[in-house]
Amino acid sequence: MEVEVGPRVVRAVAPVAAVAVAVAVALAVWVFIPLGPGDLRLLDLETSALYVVALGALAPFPLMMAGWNRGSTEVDAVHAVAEIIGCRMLQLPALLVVVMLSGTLSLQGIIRAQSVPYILSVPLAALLFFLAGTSPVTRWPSAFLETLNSFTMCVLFSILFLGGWRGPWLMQVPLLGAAWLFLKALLLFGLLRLVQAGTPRLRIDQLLPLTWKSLVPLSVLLWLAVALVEKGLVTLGVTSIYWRSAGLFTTNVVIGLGIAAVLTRIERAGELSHTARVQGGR
Amino acid sequence: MIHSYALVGLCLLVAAVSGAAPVLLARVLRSNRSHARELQDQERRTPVFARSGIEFKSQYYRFAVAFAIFTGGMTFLFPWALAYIDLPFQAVAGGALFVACLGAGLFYVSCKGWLEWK
Repeated sequence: MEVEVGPRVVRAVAPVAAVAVAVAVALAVWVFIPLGPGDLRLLDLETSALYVVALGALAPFPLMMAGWNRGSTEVDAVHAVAEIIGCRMLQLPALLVVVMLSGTLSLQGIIRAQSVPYILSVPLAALLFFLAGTSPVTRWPSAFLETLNSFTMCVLFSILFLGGWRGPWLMQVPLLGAAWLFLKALLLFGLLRLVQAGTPRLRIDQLLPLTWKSLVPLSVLLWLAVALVEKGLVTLGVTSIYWRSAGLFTTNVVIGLGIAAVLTRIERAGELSHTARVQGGR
Repeated sequence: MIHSYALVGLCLLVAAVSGAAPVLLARVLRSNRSHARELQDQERRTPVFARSGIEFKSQYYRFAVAFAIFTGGMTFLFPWALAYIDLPFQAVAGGALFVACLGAGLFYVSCKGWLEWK
């Protein structure tokens, strides 16, 4: 049977390039991961958080390169890209919230700014960031890539929301910082696996509307609320980080409960209209 | 600073090579005799190396365009977020207005039905 294929050199290079870019993106994040309070990292950059965002923007490319010109696999690649960009849209506002509260793009600076871990100040932002990480797209076809990407996401979450290398006895043993960071990331990795295994996998036609119509507006609304509440508290003279964190936590809880109430009402309205249609059909 | 970025580029190169090396090594070491059945997609029984005459719906591009627009808009907020601590309340309100404009755009594309996956 005669089949048409692409140019020979592209057919040879595309799969290799896909794997190379995928692994490069996953490993390159580790260059800036701060492992302790001192200089325990490979490189230091004042914009390391933005660098991580930029690396994440490269994620769709290996998917398209791997699926290119391979029949039905190309459709799967396009679907995966659509899912991954939806999840990227969820993570950006959450990252903006963290940058706003810490005042720096440096991952080390974000950790140092967390005298109160941001998961306690802005739990909704942490939840949205975590939800984006549990996306089905993180389930790469290669087990190595999947584990690497998932664990990297857990380490980033630990840095952004759990205080990174912060923990007891750091002054006495600075190397414990790496242990605390990996312990937090491992616990989160276990939770991530539990959530992925225990929840049904959404189809793309369910995931994309949920992401773009519900979660992305929620994350933008959350960012807006945090910006206004934090600045309002500072303007009113609340200087204590603990009182400001309490105010932000209350804001997050109110927004979360409000969204839950709205979604419950929408679901009930859908059930009522379905019941009315069924009864009317009898 | 240039020294830092040169090291970043070197790390990216090393990571890319470390990813590509096992694939290339496998190509060198493996047998070149392919069984006819291996070249089929196991789930769909279609040839793997086939021309993809798939009709790409415009919704694929619409999601990509929406992502490009909103990510580009949000990227402008990073300098604002960096300076947030020192900004007066009026500047925060200005940033909120910028985001409200992005939100209006998102609402518009949602109403147009561009965010439905059919």
